[in-house]
Amino acid sequence: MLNLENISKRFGDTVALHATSLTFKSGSTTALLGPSGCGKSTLLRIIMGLLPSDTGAVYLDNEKLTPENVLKMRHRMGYMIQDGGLFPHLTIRQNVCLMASHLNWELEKTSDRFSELAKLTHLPQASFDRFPSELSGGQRQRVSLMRALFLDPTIVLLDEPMGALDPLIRSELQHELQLIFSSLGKTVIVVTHDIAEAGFLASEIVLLKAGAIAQIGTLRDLVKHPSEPFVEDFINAQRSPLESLEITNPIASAGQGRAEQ
Amino acid sequence: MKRRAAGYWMPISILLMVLLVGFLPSSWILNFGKSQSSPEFKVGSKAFTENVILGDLVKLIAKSENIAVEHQAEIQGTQIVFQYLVTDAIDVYPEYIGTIRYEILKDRNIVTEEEVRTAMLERFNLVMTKPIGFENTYAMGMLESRADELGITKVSQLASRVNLSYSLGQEFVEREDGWEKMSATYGIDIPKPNGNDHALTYKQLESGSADVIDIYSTDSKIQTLDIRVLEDDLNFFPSYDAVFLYRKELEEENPQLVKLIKSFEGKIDNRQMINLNARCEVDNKFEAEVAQEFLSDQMQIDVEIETPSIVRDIFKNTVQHLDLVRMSLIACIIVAIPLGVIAAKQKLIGQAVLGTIGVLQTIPGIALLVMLIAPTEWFGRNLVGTKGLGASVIPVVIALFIYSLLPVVRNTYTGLTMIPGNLLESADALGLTRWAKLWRIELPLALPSILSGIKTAAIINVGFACLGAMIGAGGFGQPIFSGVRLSDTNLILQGAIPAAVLALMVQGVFEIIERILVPKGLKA
Ligand SMILES: Nc1ncnc2c1ncn2[C@@H]1O[C@H](COP(=O)(O)OP(=O)(O)OP(=O)(O)O)[C@@H](O)[C@H]1O
Ligand SMILES: [Mg+2]
Repeated sequence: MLNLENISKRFGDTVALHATSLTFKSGSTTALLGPSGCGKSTLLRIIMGLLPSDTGAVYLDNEKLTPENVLKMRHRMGYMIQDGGLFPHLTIRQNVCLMASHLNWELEKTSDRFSELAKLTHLPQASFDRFPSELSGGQRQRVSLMRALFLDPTIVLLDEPMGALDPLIRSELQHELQLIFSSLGKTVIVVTHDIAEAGFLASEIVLLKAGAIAQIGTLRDLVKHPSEPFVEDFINAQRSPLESLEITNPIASAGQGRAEQ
Repeated sequence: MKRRAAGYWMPISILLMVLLVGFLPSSWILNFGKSQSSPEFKVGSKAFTENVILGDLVKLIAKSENIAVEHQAEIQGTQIVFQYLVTDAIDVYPEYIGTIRYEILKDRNIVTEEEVRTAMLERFNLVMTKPIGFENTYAMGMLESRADELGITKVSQLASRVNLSYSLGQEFVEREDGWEKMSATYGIDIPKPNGNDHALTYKQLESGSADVIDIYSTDSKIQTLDIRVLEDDLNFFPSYDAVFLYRKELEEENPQLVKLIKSFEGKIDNRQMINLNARCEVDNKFEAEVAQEFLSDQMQIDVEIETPSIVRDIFKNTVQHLDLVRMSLIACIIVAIPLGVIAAKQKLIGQAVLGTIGVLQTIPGIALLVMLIAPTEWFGRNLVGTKGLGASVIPVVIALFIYSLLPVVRNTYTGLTMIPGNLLESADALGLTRWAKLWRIELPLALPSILSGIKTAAIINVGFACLGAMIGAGGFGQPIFSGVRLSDTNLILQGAIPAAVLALMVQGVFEIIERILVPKGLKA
């Protein structure tokens, strides 16, 4: 179980996060949703201890996160940063198994774990010894996910794991992620801009607006009982493809269709 | 035991070992296990023919009595040779009384030879021998034929001949006790001439476009161009009698060597010295050959010398040059990379480090070398227990090391600070310790930048290592400096061409190293 108690963060004059308390139940999948700059990545960074919060504290299974235990705590949390953050000088295998060599694992155990994860994420064998620059965007996302899962963490934080993917791969990866989440029974927080994706992957959605929680609930709650006009606007801004057909100006439709990407 | 991935102490220690072994001078590596028979005594000489001949005379006469004396020839400038002598890095070298008075003692109250001798003993514990017999001073010279035509034999006669044209060397025009004082003393009332390259003044004298030039009184040109040395009838020019300076302790360490040095007292007069210089500069003999001839003809002492060979010289220079570059570069790598890391991690220290190194960079080579001699000699004696370290390649290596720091420190610093933030965040998020992050992520990502800094440093060092010749440490600078001194283009090319080739090779080698070391993923 992951508890955030009264955390907040300012950068100079900008308040990135107002005082926020949240609980993520063990085994649950939560989607963190909201417009660009609303504080989603900031929230994840505070959870990882990468960014000190101005107030409050983070508790992992009731243990408080402190500067002293932060390295150990990070081994229990897998974090996939916004653009993957794969190391360009390491091969795929080295990227994924980095922590194994750091923690001095036996080679056999390391390679077993790697195969297991490659199977789970359907990463093609041919790519194992390539460098990140030699992979497609979708393959890179899978590798980042493998790396985040490598130490078998109890908490998994995914910051836009499917940004910049074409719809087909995106949908394929969504299905795989859903399977992975449900089979591994981990506490997952996934950041996304996409309402449908949030609804598909997560049982609960946290919608942020300018550093504060606008609404918490299921997709149904948000659609049927929006807490404020912002929630309604946010949901309605994502039109379906069919809706786009009805707009006559093709340039406007192209622009608006991608507005939330 | 189950197999585990190699930790990073293994590669680090291997790297350090390779670097340390690579740091040793090649003479140590080649002589490993052999008994060391380094000569006990060292004679130094300044970078002009006459002085080198005198150095060779000492070396050869000692050899005839089976005393091993090494000759560290062609050291640039009085300050460095003298520094060597007072720090005991060398034992003896030929000097001129005038130079001792004006450049070393710098004391107007010390005038006579005896006063100079006493002062040197009291202040520096150095013994000055009696004059060797010739004097190398400034003098005014005219072509014998022209002087005859005009009936000039003395400098004082120049005053009434205002139509004579002068061509004077740069140094003579600029010296405090040069042209200005002399023309005033003799009442030569003409506008101050511009200083020329000294080689040019001879050409002008020869062609007749100049009537009077300044010369050194033992110059071989006096013989070859048939120059009349005008009598200094007002005794304006100070005495520049040649002597040997040696350390007082030498009298106890090897009385026989001292006796041999003293055997040159009063042995060589001006005519003979001019002749010896001409044998080198006109007949293109090596100084050692000329010294050997002199010992045999004038002192009935026969010594064998190594016959000089161009191939062996180039080989020797190459080895010495590579030594200088290699040792300084490896020291630079070991020190500069950690400095760069510290600079990147601690902004304040970083600015201080980069600033200091930038300032060190601006110290002129010669000044830096002079500053380094005494501490190096002290270090050698007191901490390592060897003598002569100050006159060895070490100060040059240290100077090169200092000059090469900047590119490596700066590139390490930039390489580390240019790493994209998301990669650093990734590394942190995985739970890597600071060391592991540095070793596994940051340094490898900065590697291309670091390597190109090392490449720059290496190429700079190949050029700067010519500095080594200034203090007789050899290298490609040796033939360059000698060639300039003797205006021998072939000799200059013997140093310049290999130095250029070496710079290209270093560039090539580093490109190969980059290709091997930089992971494919980091190449664009
Ligand atoms: N290191 C920082 N210094 C100053 N301001 C920052 C810093 N990091 C984030 N911010 C600001 O804090 C706010 C929240 O940023 P955050 O990265 O959490 O947004 P986000 O919700 O992840 O946006 P996106 O969907 O575009 O990734 C933004 O206004 C951002 O400009
Ligand atoms: Mg973000």
